[in-house]
Amino acid sequence: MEKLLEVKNLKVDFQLDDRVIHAVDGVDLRLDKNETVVLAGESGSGKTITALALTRILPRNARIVSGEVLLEGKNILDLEERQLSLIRGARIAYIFQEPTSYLNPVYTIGEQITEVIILHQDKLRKVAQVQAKKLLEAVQIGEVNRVFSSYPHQLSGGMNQRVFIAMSLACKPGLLICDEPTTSLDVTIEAQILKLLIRLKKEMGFSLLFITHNLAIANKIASRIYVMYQGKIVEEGLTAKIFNDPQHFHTKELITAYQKIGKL
Amino acid sequence: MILEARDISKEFKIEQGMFKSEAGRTLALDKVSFVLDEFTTLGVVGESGSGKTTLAKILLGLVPASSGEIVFNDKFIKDFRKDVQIIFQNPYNSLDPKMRIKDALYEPLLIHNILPRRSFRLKATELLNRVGLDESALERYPVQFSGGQRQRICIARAIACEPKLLVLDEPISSLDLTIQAKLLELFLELKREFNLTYIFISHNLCVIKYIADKVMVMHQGRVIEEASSSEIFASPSQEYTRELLEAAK
Repeated sequence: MEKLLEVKNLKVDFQLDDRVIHAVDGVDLRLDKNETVVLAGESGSGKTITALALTRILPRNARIVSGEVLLEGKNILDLEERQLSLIRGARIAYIFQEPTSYLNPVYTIGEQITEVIILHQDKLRKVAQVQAKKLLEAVQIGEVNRVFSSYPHQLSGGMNQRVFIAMSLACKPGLLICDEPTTSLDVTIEAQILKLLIRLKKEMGFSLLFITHNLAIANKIASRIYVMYQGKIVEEGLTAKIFNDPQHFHTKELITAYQKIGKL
Repeated sequence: MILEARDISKEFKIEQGMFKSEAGRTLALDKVSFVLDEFTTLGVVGESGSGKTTLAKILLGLVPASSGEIVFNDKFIKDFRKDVQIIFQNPYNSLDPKMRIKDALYEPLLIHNILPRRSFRLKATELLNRVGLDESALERYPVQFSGGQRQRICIARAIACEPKLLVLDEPISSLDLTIQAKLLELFLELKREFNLTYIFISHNLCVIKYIADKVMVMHQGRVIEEASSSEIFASPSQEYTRELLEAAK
């Protein structure tokens, strides 16, 4: 398998008033092309901060202390801000938990998707608009024209998540990072969104880094699992191996919870 | 029987414009009826917008129903305000951020006149211990706790006045799966210990399967299916229930 992303010894600190917190404490990750990998762990374990550090979009009081993020062999943490901004969104895209709060409330859906395409691909507005509508079709939005001219608050959470996926995929990224994308949604909608992501991945051929506290999702989509606990990767392996023979106590905790209430 | 709901309907006005003129009406609950047996757990399932929370609020008397009636068995419910308690989905906004934990726990004891003031601290400590927290929590504020801990505090507050019926409205949905599993265990323990009856509202069928004796499936304000938990999960009679089950697999 061809390697897409490699993270080596990533460390992120948070500077608080009276102390320093090691939120990410020496994380190593690897992701092949077209692979789906799950990063699992409880809240506060450092999953999200790891994901944000990959393209340096961290909160103000966070600092990357050490580590390398190699995208196709090139360390992107060394890049200047302007060069890195060409990678964000274009080659590494994100989907977050609360789509409604990540979309701009004062612009229509159409304007927001079009903007991404113009910015990264330098297309004429008319061309970008046609492309944006095609993307909305690809994420299975029924009434494309209505949604195109709607504002985020006029759409449901599940619908906004589809819009967000369309926007993330606008520039055909090589890596899509999904941070708990279905946690705030109903089970029925969650199942639809997961199916959609799997189908799009097959069609467009990107790698998926999926962050979740729910191993049920890992069992459905991932080939490998990383388990994170208190800023460290405490266990990694093929999905089947993790489920059949967990080593770390937190992995066992996650699996117990999954067996109890993660599946029917 | 501890409670019976007969043909509960709730209509909401849709208001429009500056003067809130009525633009239409929406039927949030459409003739919902059910019987709740004592010491059981009734699971209420349905997607968002199906009327679950409206039903919970009507049962508690927090919003009035448009029509229908709720009958409580006086033998079990003697003092409605004390005997029926609720736990909400979001522990971040169901605790007053400016109240210390001890004050949040003292309030139900004070209002319902359960014991003399000098015993409050002891009782509050007992309650905290029961939900897996310790005495040091008393002097702290909600912001100093994690989501799971806050929900534990809400549980302690709800059982402070020894209720008979607890309405749990998505009590664990905003938490991690590992924390969810631990809190479910706690709910089961408390139910045995205090002889509680639960109405457990959730969109998550896995959770309902784990905790409920009887399940009621809601869709667009109506109860479309009601049966024992084992029946619903083994052989659902409605297409919509089958869809829900399929999605949870």
